[in-house]
Amino acid sequence: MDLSYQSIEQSIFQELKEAVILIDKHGKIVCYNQQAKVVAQSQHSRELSMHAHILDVFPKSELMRVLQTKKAEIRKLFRLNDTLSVHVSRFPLLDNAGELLGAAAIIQQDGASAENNWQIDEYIQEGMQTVLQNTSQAFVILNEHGFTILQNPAHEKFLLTLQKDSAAEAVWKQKLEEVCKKTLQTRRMVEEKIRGESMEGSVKCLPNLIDGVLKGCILFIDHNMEQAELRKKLEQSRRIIRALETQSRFKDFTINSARMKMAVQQGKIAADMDYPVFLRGAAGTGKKMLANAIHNDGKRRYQAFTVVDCLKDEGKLADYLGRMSSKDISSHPQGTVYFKNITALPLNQQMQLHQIALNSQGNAAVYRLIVSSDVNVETAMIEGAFQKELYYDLLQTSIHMPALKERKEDIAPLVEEWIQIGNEEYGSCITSIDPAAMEVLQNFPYNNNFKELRASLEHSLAKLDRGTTTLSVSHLAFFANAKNNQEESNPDTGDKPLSELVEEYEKVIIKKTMAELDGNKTLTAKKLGLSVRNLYYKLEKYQLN
Amino acid sequence: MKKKHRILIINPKADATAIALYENEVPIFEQSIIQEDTKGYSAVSLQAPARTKKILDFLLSEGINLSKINAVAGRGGLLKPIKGGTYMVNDEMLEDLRAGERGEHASNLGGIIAADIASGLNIPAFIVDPVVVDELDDVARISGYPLISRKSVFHALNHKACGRRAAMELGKRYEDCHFIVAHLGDGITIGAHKQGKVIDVNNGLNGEGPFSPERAGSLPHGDLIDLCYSGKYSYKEMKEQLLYHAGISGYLNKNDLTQLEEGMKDGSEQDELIFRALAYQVAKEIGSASTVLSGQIDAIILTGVMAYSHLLVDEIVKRTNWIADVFTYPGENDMQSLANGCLRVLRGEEQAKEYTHKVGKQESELYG
Repeated sequence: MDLSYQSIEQSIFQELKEAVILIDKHGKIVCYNQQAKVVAQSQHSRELSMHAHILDVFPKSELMRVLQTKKAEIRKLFRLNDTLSVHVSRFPLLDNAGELLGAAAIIQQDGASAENNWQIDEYIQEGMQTVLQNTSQAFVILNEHGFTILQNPAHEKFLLTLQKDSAAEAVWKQKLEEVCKKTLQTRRMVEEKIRGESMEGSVKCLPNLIDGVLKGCILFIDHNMEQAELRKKLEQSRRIIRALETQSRFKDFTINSARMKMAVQQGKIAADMDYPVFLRGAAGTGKKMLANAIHNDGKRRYQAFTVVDCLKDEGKLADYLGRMSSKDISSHPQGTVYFKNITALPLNQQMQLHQIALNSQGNAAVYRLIVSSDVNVETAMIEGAFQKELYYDLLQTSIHMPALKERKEDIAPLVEEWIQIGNEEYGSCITSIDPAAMEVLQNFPYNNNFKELRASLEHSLAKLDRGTTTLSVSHLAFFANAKNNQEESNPDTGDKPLSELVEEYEKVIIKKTMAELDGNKTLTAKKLGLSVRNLYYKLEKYQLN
Repeated sequence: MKKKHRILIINPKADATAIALYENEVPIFEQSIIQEDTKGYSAVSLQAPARTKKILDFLLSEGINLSKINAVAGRGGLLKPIKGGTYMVNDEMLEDLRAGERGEHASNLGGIIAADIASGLNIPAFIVDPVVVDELDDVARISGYPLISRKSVFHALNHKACGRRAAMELGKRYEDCHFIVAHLGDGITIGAHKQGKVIDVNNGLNGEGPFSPERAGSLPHGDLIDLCYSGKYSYKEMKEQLLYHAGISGYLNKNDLTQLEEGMKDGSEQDELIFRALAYQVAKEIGSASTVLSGQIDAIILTGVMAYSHLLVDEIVKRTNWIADVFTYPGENDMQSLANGCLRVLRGEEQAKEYTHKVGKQESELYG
């Protein structure tokens, strides 16, 4: 062979872009070019050298197979290292007689031939697919018009969770649309955080650019909707416990109506002050509940909340009034003392309470005083049955509790809440309310307000057939009975509820007995089986004085 | 219908406060409230406000109506020696608990926290059978060496609760029964209960009675003195050795009866020997207590965590059942015992005792 020709051939061989390695029939390297050295280095293995065994330099080389098969393998992928694969062509080297001399490997090293392993390894592709399908991070691929092309299960789950919370759904949807629009307009990544009452999260939107052309965007969503839902359920359970424990907080009030919102707002202000609070409103409007919330959300929450009914607890009343007016501070009761039916107090005790109210005003170190009345105090005062001094003490922080008919928009949520509690207590499983039943509940002329609504619902739940899931009109037996009784006993009573009729009857009986006994109140009380104090209260209530 | 009494139980530990809410004998819930910041206080009693706040915040967050609680019962602390029973927490008791003169211990907080909570709720606070209950007979105080008197330091709450429970099961009053109660816990105390009083009990903390998982129990004092003066150990080291690295732990480097039983299952002869020795020493102490009660015994009661071991109970019963029937009440049941003590007072079955500085006999008076 011509030497000059040989050296030219050698130079070309060394400068080839492809790496070339030749082995003899035993697997020993007999020839390689410059590029082959580079390939060997990128594999971080033993340095390429003459007479080294191919498997020592490339432990995963498949060139030995060609020695056995004597068949060429064109453009096969070879895993060079953890991140890169290259195309290799393998040829057997045979003499003219077909005898095996060795084998050659030609490795294509240019960018187009080298590929990242993740693009070509099926198992990695599958692995990535599994990761994307099972990751808790939600993602969705959208086209350039904002339509969904692909989403992972976490995103589907996210959408389902959102459907359960309309407020959160509105916030999230608006934010996602904004972020998406911004990304498509600017062709840049946009990242935003979302913070709300019961939700927290972030959204990242990346433009999907292929060869510089905008093909859409990819949204990544991190959210705490599941935790928020669990927290909500926990709070619901605690709310039920609080209701069963008669332990109220301001957050337990249903306040869709402006009047109730106002009352609760006033209660919150009163909770932070050290002044006596006066709660007014008809029976069953939630005066005790608000008094309890003022106590539990105020600074005396670690102390006792004591209820003294001026109408019934004579002994307790005298004891508490005595202790509260005592000069010995150690005998004072701690916490909040709630006197209900304040107008039933005799005048001398009203004066005592006036002194107590004066002493506790602005004094954070002593008890808090809360009083309530369901009859008109002004009328009692004009009639001389209520002390003016006490009236003016109480007027400063007087809160009016609206009747149920003044807050009809609160009835539906109240019913739903009490059905939840009733389900716990009576083992029922009502999950929905028939609209007709709800209409009856909303339009019923409640006399004892919330107390009557609750009692009626509990009555209905307690008598339900096993397995009933929807509360219908037929289950509201209490209302039907009340209506029937009204119709049967007094066809002329119009729309008056039973409780009002009972009161009317009571008024007639008291009046008649008083007349029979020449107005002697002690004898009247004895004959009717009432305490004198109770009789005075009723006389005042029915204006029979 | 039985009146419902709701009782809050406070059982302070070194770095947590175990609380429970009982409605009569039924626990509504039990909870351990971790107290992270126990290190920065110069005295244990100063932790009380922080612990109290954490307890009340927890109860409120769970929706519990504090005003429905009728009484608070705290784990009694290191007071002056007193008779067993339920004590009203009063100013004198609080003074002693706060001063911590008889030792700083987390249980001192029980009465303090109970009183803090109860005063705000206008209800009484009690402690029940603290560890300092001392009802020893005069004859039992004689040690045999005039400079040392025998003291009553034992797990009184569990002892008394088990005594009452057994009496109830026998259809008798605790005050009419004679029992031998063996509390088999980290320490072992075996007491002779005579008509409601623990007239003799080994001082498990200070080296009397059987060995236990980590403590040595009674030792020949001559050898012990030699060891103490051998120059090999400091005072602190000797104390730690006998309290924490003796007993089962000392012989086998195992501090749990379960590990010992596992060793026996694997055929370890040494494990079996120590196990048999433990049962032997407990039985021997029970036998000794039977003479204190002149053989008139209604029942032997085995309690504490080690009473969960059937093997140990069987081994002890084999040696002692000739004395009396054996009742087994495994575990310590502190919370239930505190609730029961409180209930007896609330129901008027027992009068709450009043702690005064005079009630607690002076040490000199008690121990010569």
